[in-house]
Amino acid sequence: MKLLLSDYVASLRERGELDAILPDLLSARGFHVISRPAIGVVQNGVDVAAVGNDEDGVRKLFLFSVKAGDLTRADWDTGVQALRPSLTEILDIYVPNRIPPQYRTLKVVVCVVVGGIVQQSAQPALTAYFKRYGNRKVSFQEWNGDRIADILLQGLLQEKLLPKPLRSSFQKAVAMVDQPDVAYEHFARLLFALQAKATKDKDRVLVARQINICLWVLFVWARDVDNLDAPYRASELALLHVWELAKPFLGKKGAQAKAMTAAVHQVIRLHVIVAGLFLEIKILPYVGRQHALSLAVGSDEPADVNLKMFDMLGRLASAGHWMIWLARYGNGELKELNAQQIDGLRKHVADGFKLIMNNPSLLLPLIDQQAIDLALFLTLAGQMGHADADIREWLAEMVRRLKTTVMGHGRYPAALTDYSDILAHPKARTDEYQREVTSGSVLIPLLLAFAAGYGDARSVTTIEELIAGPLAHCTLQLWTPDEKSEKHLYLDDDGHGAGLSDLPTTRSGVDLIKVLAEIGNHSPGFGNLSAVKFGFFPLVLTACRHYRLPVPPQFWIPFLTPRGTGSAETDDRQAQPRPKKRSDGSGKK
Amino acid sequence: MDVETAKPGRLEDADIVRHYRAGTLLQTVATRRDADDRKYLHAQMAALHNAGDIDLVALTTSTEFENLDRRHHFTIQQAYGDAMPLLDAGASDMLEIVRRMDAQAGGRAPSPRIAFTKWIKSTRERAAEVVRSAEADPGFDPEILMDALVVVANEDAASAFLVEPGPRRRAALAALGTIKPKNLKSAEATFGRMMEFAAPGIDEDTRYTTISSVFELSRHYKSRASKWIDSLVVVVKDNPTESARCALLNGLRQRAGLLPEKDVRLVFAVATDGDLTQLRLRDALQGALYQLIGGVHHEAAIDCLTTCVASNGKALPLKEFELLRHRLTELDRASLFALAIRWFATGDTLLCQIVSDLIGAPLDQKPFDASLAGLALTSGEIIAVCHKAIGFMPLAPVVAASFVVAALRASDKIAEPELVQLLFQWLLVNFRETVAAYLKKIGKEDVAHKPVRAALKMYRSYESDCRIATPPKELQPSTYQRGVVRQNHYLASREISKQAERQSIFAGLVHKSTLLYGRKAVTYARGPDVPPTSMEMKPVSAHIEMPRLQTVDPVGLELLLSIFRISRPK
Repeated sequence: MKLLLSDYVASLRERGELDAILPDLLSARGFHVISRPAIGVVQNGVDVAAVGNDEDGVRKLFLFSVKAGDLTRADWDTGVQALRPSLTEILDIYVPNRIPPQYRTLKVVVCVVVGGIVQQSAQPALTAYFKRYGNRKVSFQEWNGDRIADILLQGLLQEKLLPKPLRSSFQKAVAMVDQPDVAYEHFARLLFALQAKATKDKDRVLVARQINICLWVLFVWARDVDNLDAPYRASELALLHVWELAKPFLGKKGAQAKAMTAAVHQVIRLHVIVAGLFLEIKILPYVGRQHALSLAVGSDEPADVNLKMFDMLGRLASAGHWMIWLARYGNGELKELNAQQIDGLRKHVADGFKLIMNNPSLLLPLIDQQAIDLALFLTLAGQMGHADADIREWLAEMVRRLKTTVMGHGRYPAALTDYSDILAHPKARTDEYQREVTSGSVLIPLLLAFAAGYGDARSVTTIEELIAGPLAHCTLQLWTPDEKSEKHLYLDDDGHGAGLSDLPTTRSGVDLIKVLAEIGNHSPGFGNLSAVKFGFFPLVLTACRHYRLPVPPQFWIPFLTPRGTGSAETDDRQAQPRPKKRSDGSGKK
Repeated sequence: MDVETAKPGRLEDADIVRHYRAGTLLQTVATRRDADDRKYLHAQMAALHNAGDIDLVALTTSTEFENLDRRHHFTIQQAYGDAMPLLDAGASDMLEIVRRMDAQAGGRAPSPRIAFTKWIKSTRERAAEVVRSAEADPGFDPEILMDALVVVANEDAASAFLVEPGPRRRAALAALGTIKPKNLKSAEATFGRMMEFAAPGIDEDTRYTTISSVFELSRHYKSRASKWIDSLVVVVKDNPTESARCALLNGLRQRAGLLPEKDVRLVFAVATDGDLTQLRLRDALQGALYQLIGGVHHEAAIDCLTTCVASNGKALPLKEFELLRHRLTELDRASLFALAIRWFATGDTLLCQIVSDLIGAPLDQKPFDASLAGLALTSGEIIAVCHKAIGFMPLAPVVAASFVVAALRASDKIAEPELVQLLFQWLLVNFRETVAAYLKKIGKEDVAHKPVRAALKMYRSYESDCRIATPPKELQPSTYQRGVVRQNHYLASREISKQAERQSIFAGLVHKSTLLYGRKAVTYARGPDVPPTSMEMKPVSAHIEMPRLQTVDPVGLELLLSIFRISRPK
């Protein structure tokens, strides 16, 4: 375990990684963290500041200067991340001027934190510096990777935080990180076990931090084996678990509420880091290359390619939603997106369309459930308001393919979930089989609503023909949270939500949009979701993606409804850059 | 005896006579195993009969003959078949042998009949004697009568039997078709007499014989063939029965070389106007087409076949003409290519599908080295033909590519960009090096070289683009999913293997051993006293390359294929 953790610490290679876990480690050891790392804030060499007992039992103020990886001679005095200038800043500026008044009487320990080791070449300079500037008020300590691992181990091994059975799950999750299904399974067990232990408010904060640290370890190990699938999925789950832990603190003030808010933000940031790294390294560089990602699936089974591509589209969309959220609420206060952020998001959406165009299995879902990924991306693209033509083109092609496959008993979207069934689809080219596997659909109403909303009359007609013909038996439905959803959405520990069935498909989709808009206006289940109430709406989308729940129409119906006509004007906190008003319903800007 | 020297084990003349007298000769003859030995014995018997030592005619009335085991009937018929042409006997005796052999066989005994015909043909006198016998005997075998009339070669003698309806008239008609007339005038007279029996109202068997005989008669006076067949067709059209149509087709099959193309087309027109769901007519048509396809009347035959199988014609599936399928695949490559272009150009789904069946097999693909230049196709038609080649031969990419290359050789600058895209987007993207290897062989001197290179360049760029040096592990299916796929493949392979074994015609004939270990078999199947046979184990496999889109875009693939299949020239 110790080896696992020291390797992990040594692998924390970027700024924002080692200093991100340090505060939690300190908190777990009983330190009171008074300053956390922040980008864009003048820190005068101090990455983290905390008050706590030193090994001699005396309460001191610890000022941490963090250096990822090993400390070499070159890193000591030169370069952007040089250590000596940071230490000098601490001594010259922070200690005399920036220590909060209540801690000014405490002795100061300046800690040099390195993820790896202080190399021999740098050791004399560091020791000489410590000797020269150490005095009765200020002393120095060197925290290398080994020491941090020790602290981490002590934290993890505290019986109340990570009892033996959980340690086993954690170790297995990390060890099997290259087998994402297995790693995820163990990590999920760990999270549920931790969740069960958090009965008191104090425990909740501790568990949230613990989850964060465990996720970090998993992520770093996964990064080393070049497989981010397990931490990606684990980070979604961690996010939802931490939110569940945070729910009692929402809207409250106080130290623990603040600490929990910080924990939530940390997990969100970690999720975004994992998702961002995954997309930036593994997916986005290849979206512009024809078939590249489809072929990278490395399977001859078209079902494998289809499932992976829609999964990727969902992840890309989910990341986009979090990007919007971070840009607007990342600092806790509502902001308008600036031009640069909008450009970034639009490029993200454009990359999504490149992914679609170059990986044509994305032109038609194979299973009805992929309506979730479809809705996630449409919601994102619809918000950005610049991709209406792409959306229309994509949907039109999708409807065309839907018709061809349904009529020809081909690979039409089926309400199947079992992998073997999906592989074998279509098992038979008969009406009977088709009726069986298209008994219900969330995809068709979604397509109808978007086709109608974007004014694609031809697609609307095609869908209407299908609904009146070969899909007449199909229960067209959507899903919306209900009063039980708040309790079960984040952990998916029980059934919840309401299936909206027998939706009207008359008048070229207009009735459907109208009904959905009404539902948007009067849906206490949705409005009462804590994630919605407190402005963390991507959490709901993450839950939908992770637990394979249809995206509630409240997220996307506003982009399909002309404003000012009784549409689902949602909470301002959800509001994103929207498509401009479509007074004629044509979808034209 | 002047037959070859007796070999050890062969019967001596005395033995034969002894067996004859003891009533065991037939049994002895029937049990001889060696074929040469038997032939020798049969000749010995004929010689002994001619010498008066035994009586082969009387033998057919003996108790031994009557009680002969059924399994020996065929052998004895063969024995008589060999001996009869050598016999010195009267026609009535010979006829008696044939009748008894027929009676024993419970029908027609072919060997004695053939032997009797040979016997008749040896001298005109024998034939005349047979005819005389026939005149006196209304129940005389008509086939033998016909043979005899042909040997006698007297039109008047034959015509004398025309007055007698039934089999004797048909024998006479058949003979008249075979006998070479003395001169043109006589031929015209014979034709005139025959035509009375092709007219409506005459029984079908007689009409059939008449029509066949007219074709036969035509070979003696080729200059009159067209006129006579025209008249025949007119008469048949008055009452176009299935039998008459079959007769026309059989005549055409046998004597097509006599007729100009217009008459061939005329006959096909009358024939295909009939009910082709009837097996007899379809078989007759198949026979005629089989004979004509690839010959001088190839075009007329292909036209007729097109009418039979096209959607807007009779829409008969080619499997109804299984022989023709084989004949078409055996055509020379230029004719086969021309046929493919012709049928692809129609856009008719059934015709295109047949082309696909003929040349689009995934195994052993043979590209055409051809050109569409000079076929007067428009740009749109050139592209449509290529669409068909691709759409209907999705698993024979090299053959399809050869059509696109042939199209590029037409140097149609309007069509060229689209043809290059077809090569790249469809054939190269889907079948990669298989098609690239073929295209690389297109030499610099070829007019298609430049556009082909352009397509190959695009393909190289695509290939380097679509390869990710280190494919993301996150995209790969999970261990569980791979396991399920593996299991499915295993089950499918096992089922294929079972099916193949069930349908194999060899599986039931051979001894099957299943080796669980080792790389070769040392088998003792021939017994403990024989050294074992050693057989190296060799892997045997067959594979069909599936288009890449089948994996990355199966729905698009299906759509594209349907579009290609229904593509029409713009």
